[in-house]
Amino acid sequence: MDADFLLIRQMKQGDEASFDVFVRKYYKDILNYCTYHYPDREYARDITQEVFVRFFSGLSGYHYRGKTKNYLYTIARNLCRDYLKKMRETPVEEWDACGGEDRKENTMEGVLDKLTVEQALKGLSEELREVIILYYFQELKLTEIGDILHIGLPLVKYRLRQAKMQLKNCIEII
Amino acid sequence: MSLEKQLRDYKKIREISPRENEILETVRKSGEAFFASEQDKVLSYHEFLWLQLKVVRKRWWVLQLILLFVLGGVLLAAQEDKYIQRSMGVAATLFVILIIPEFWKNRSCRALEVEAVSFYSLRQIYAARMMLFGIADTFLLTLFCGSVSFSLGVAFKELLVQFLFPLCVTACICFGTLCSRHILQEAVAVGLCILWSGVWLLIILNEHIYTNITLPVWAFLWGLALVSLFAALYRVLAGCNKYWEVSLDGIEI
Amino acid sequence: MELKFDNLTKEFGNFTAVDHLNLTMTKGVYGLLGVNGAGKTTLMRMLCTLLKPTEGRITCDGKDIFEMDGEYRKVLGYLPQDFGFYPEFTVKDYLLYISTLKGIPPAAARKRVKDMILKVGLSKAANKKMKKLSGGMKRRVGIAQAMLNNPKILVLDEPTAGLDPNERIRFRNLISELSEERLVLLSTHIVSDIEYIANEIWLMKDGKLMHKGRAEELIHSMEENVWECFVEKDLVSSFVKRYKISNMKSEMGGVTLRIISREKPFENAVQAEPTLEDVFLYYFGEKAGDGNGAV
Repeated sequence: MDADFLLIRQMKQGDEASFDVFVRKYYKDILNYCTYHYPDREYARDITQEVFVRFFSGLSGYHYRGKTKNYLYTIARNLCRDYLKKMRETPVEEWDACGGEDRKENTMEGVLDKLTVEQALKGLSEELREVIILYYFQELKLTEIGDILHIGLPLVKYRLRQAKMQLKNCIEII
Repeated sequence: MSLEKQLRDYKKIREISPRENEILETVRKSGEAFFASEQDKVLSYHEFLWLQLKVVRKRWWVLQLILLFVLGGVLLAAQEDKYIQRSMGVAATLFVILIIPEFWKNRSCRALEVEAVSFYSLRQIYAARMMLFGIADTFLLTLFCGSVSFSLGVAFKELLVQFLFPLCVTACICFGTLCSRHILQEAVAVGLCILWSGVWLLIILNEHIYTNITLPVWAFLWGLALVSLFAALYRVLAGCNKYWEVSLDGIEI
Repeated sequence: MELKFDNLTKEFGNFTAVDHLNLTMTKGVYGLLGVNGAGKTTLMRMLCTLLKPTEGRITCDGKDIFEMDGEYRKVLGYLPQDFGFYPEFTVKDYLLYISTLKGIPPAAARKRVKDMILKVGLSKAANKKMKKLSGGMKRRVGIAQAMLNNPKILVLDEPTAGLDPNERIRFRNLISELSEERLVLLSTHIVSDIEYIANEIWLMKDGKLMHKGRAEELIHSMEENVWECFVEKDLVSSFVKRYKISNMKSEMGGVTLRIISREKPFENAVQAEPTLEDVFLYYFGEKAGDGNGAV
């Protein structure tokens, strides 16, 4: 994104207004990405903040190569993984932990669907789930996903196919 | 319902919006992190050079350019008048004098003490200025000599003797006097330069002396001048931190 | 962090400006008191690596500061007595220029300059040309430039000389603020500058350290007493010749003299509580009757 090029330049020069613009641009996406790994909303918010702090710490040495967004996702992904290593596997109940006001509770059907999808997602392996999150929830392009996960486009497509297949099977069973 | 729709609906349900205060806090912490890491960095030498270039007042280079234009104009008007050609030496002296205000600005403004104690100390500042002025002046002089010898047909040997030689000697005087330990005023340096200019004119305009100086002698004098100039430049860099080794009648002690 | 002067000596030809000084400094404010010619500026210049000692050395955490070169200068901030600057620069541009000399990258420099201008109270004058500033404001720019690189060692040579009393008080408060987490060496011949802010005061004369300690210690170390007495105007000159006078206050019908003397000098003299000013005179003053005497 060319807009990012100018923005990053301004940020590197210490223009504090541009910090604000940058954070606002990507905060929501990163926050939501983190919540798919950490249903605990507060935790997700902490990680999101940490993502930006890490990015800015390294800003002096950051060379713009396009796709700053992907870079942020990479940082987020690494941070989520690091935090996970410290914790045990989260029990099933925690997927629904807290933050009642953030969820849009709809019809009974909606709730059922949500639980269904959640269970199905939980059944996926980590790398397949990641592709689903990045493609459907973060709405990234396949090339961008490949960039973030450091895998080739064919592998992205393969994993996406596999993930969709497994999800369909899971949901049908449920 | 298709899988895609189910996933999209799921996304809609789970989506959360950021709170304003957390965005502001993130911005604040990010700024702190950035400035903290910047503080640890040290300005690189080429960035330092670039900033020195920005600080140097270009008007003196413009004046030098104008001087060369005027000289060119005079030569054009005078054509074959050899006396005018020989007076190029005066212009050469003036050319060098125009460096004085900007190059030694920190001396005349008494800013040496503060600058000597900074990370990029006097040595680096003078080296940077030498480089910048060297490049700029070499460029101007090359342009001048090239166009004068090309368009006016002035022999390069003439330029070497009449213009570049007195220029070199003047530069020696400037670097020698203004960068020595003893604090001489700029006026004294300019005075010495003008004195040299006068001496030079006397020599050059005196037909008797001038014709007696043969090429080998000129070559020798030129070599001497160049060596002296480099020695003076070296002394500047080597001795620039010793300015305070002089007690001024006990007043500054 | 520890700075140590090890047998530090500086000679200019036959003249000894600093004579075998042995001192240690850690965090806090150190006040260097002495008359002109005592060697204060020479000492500070050596501390800033502007002068090489004739004998002895200065070490920072064990390392010789002259060998540390740029690394030492990175943590050093200096405001010389004769603070020169480029008159055509604005305050902000000048500070940005000094930032580049101090090796601070542009983004950090801009922020730092902004913070320092605010700290020394020059926000309104930030875009004024240096030549248009008053003496006090110029000195404040001087302190700002010394602080740009957040130095661990701050050296201020007579920073309040020539300032009016208001500016002096402002300076004192500023230095007090800045001295936290830092080593500050401040030289002056105005006692009130450092009386309240210095952790340790050094009294220097003829290149030697005469005495050092906290203000109270120095006051108690005085071997003579301070007396206050009220005399008629015409008797003042005879008193001035006979005793060290620390202060003279003109009042109705006469003058109140503050005399430093072991014994009671006058019938109605009253013993007074000594102050640091008295100490200064005790060590540095001469009676007016002496050959070189100036009160």
